[in-house]
Amino acid sequence: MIAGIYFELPLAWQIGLPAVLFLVLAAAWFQARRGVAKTRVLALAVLRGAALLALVGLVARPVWVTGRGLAERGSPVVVLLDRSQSMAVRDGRQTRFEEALHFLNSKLLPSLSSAGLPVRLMLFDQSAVAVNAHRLRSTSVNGKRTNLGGAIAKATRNSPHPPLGLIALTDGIANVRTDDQAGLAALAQAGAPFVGIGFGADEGAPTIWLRNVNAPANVPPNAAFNVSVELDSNVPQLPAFDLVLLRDGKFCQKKRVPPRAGPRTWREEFVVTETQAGKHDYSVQLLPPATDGIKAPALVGDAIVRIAAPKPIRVLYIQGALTWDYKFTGLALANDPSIKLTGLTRTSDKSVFRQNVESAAELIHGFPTTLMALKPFRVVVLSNLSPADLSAAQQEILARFCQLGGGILMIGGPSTFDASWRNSRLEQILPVRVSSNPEGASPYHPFQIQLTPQALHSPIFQFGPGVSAAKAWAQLPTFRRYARVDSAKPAAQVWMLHPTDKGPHGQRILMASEHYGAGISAVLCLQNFWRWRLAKDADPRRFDRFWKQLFRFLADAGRPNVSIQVADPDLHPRMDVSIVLEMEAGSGTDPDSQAAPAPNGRFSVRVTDAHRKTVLEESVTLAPGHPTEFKFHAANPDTYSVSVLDSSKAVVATRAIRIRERNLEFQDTTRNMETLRQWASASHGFAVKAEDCTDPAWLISRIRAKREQTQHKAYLRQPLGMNGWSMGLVLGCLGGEWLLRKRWRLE
Amino acid sequence: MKWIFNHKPRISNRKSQIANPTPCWLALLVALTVALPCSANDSHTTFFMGRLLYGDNDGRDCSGVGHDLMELVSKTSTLQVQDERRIHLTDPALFDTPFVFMNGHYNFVLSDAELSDLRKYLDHGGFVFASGCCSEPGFPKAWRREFSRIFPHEEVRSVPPRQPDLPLVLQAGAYPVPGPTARCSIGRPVSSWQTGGRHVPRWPLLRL
Repeated sequence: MIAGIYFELPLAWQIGLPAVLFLVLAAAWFQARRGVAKTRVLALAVLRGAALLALVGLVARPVWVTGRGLAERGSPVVVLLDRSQSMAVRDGRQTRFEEALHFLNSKLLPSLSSAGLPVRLMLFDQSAVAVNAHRLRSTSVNGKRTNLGGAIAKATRNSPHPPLGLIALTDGIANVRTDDQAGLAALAQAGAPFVGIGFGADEGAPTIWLRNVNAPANVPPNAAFNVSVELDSNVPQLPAFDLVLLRDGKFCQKKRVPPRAGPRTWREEFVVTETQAGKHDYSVQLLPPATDGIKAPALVGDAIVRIAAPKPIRVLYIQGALTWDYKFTGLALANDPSIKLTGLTRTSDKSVFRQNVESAAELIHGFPTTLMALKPFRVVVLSNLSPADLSAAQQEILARFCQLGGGILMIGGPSTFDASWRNSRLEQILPVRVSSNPEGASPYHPFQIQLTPQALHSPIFQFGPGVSAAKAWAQLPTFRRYARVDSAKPAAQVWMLHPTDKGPHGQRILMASEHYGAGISAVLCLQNFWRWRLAKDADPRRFDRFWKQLFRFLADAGRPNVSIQVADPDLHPRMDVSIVLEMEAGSGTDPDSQAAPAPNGRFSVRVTDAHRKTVLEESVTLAPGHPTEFKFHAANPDTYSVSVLDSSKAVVATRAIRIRERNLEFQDTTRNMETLRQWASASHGFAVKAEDCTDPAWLISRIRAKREQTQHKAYLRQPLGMNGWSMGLVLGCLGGEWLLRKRWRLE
Repeated sequence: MKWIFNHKPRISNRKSQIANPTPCWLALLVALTVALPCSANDSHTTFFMGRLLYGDNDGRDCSGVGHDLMELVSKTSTLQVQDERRIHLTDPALFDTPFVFMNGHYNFVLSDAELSDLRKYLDHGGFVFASGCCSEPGFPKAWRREFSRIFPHEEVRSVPPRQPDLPLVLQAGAYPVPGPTARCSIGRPVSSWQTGGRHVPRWPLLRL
């Protein structure tokens, strides 16, 4: 054991020692001249000198240096032998374990013995255990994991003497990293070099691997969808094999995959049509070819699909009086089950007519008087209403409805956009300011609708591939009557303009929209818009398509569409699963348009296991085009549900993730020398391929050389600055000197 | 509080209880209420009824019917509508008139141009309401024959009394109005075409 005190500032001694001698001697000389007894002068000089020397020593920054954990005579060489499943791979005539065992018995152990070095043998996989040499042959090579760091830590700490060195006979495939820090610390403390001897082949064993199974998270009933399987193989000539699709554990389909040549990653697909609503587990099982030696680390993958009919968008069409627009809008939506139109029409002063209500009680009292009554609807259309038809409370309900994500469309001519709406609560949420004279002074003339450039690029106004929006809209019939609104609000997006009529703020606006809270409001200031569908030369399908797109835009613009994607391709228990959340732009909005973007929102993410126990719950902020990542720890093989909830705790998106155990040992069977080099470099050791290690004597000499090199560097430095002892020494000496002077009556 | 009324609202979905959908005058009345409340003299009103002139018919059969209908609507609701307009089947104005009425006494034949326009009109969402006059058998017979030429592959059949997908105008048989004052023979079952599950109701004529 090497130990001693060193001074980081020896200059302090070079200056301080003469100074202390001078001061002490000078004081003694003066006292002697005054006739103080020599014994007293000597005692005082000793105390003063000791205190001053202690102070000089502190100034010189003393450090206690010790060689730590250094091997002593009798320290063993620890040999770690890998017995994980990957060591059972047969690269040549023998398995890797057999090769390692042969190397150990025929070369390494004799060399260590002849060098007079004691040996400690340990077998390791996910754990490490000491073993006698004669029991090695009966060892089963079936470890499910490889924890090299844990084996190093255990070998180093459990040894009575710090090992002279560690020699690992392994393929370097370490798939448990949790104990790596402990292993590094143990190596550093022991100062023992790590020597990795790599067994196996650099190209790995022939492997076919089912990487993952993908399917859409939500599918409507009776709709065909794909269950895709991602496969990976490094087999030069892969024979034909089978894939079996199981639905909720029962056979569903089987697929024969033809022979393939060369390593590759590819995808196979099953086309499935599901009729039964609910959550279904589609698992794909790989039946590997019977050819000997082909390993399959993962044979099964899962995708959980929720089969549910999409909730239709319900549109409440409120009319102050019956209009033809309602009828033709209803015709436009007649064959679209995803949008359901409900009519509420005032037919006289004391009667309303309800159409397509869901229950006898729905809207029984006419226009809703509570926000709850509007909850089933995602869009409200207002037509032919005047402020006298809606109380202030009802207007406030509409405003709240829009604020919380609903869509509002006001459609009609001058009677709809009546001047009496000015400064009303409803006008506050509209994208335009109502004019004091919607009829205007000038007479009406037939005109063609003019779309703004933003509208020409917006999906709302498109009619399918190959159809020019500009040309198609130019073919609409002419209109005559329209409401003259005053101007657009600052955040409004104008979609349609009158081609010739100009108001105080430019061309008259015929259609505009604006985000209000989480929802969107829009106006269509055209009377008799239905004429488009009835017109002789019109294509009614375009009219129908426009209304469907407009309603989807109004319904979805304020409704977040959040996608949940699993970032990690290979899922297994005991890992942190990375999930990416992304809020997509509203389905009716064009991300390239200059329309106001959907508002950002705060959401919460909840991950639960199969027993509905919450694994993780945290809040996230999502914005379109800005993916957000979070992780949860999948401790066990289980089905985890990831749900995104909005501020009202309503589920916005959900996805189920099934995590199974997989055989990581065969995930990549290539000999991993890099892992061994990293461990070696951290401990002044080295790594070498087994085929390059022909002379074990050379190996042992290198271990010794590395050990000595390590010993020179392995010092523990402990500062010895001011502490209780040094303070006690200084104060004791000075106090004693003061007491003696007082006692002897000396100044 | 607005929009709360003494009269019980009517429901027009599958769960609704619809009273006897006939007679057709009542249905027509409701059809006429599909209109904006506007002055009869307002040239900008969105609702008016078109009186069809077709074949050799000059639109003078039971010529007061249109006026009577408008008057009935005015008396029973707050709605005000314009007087009927006379429109020939081949007139482009047909495609600006979402609701047309045709009647007659006798046999008639539609030209190819009339049939073509009528087919397009109905396909685009127009509504034809027809009624035979004075129980004359010639008109209904001719109507079935001629209208079968528009949709030759479609079948004319009676609509069940509680047909759930009948349009508004034919569902509202219980609408509270004074008794019908038709001068022509009405009261026959409502009929419709059916093709591929699509109903095209009519009494004795055609669809919404």
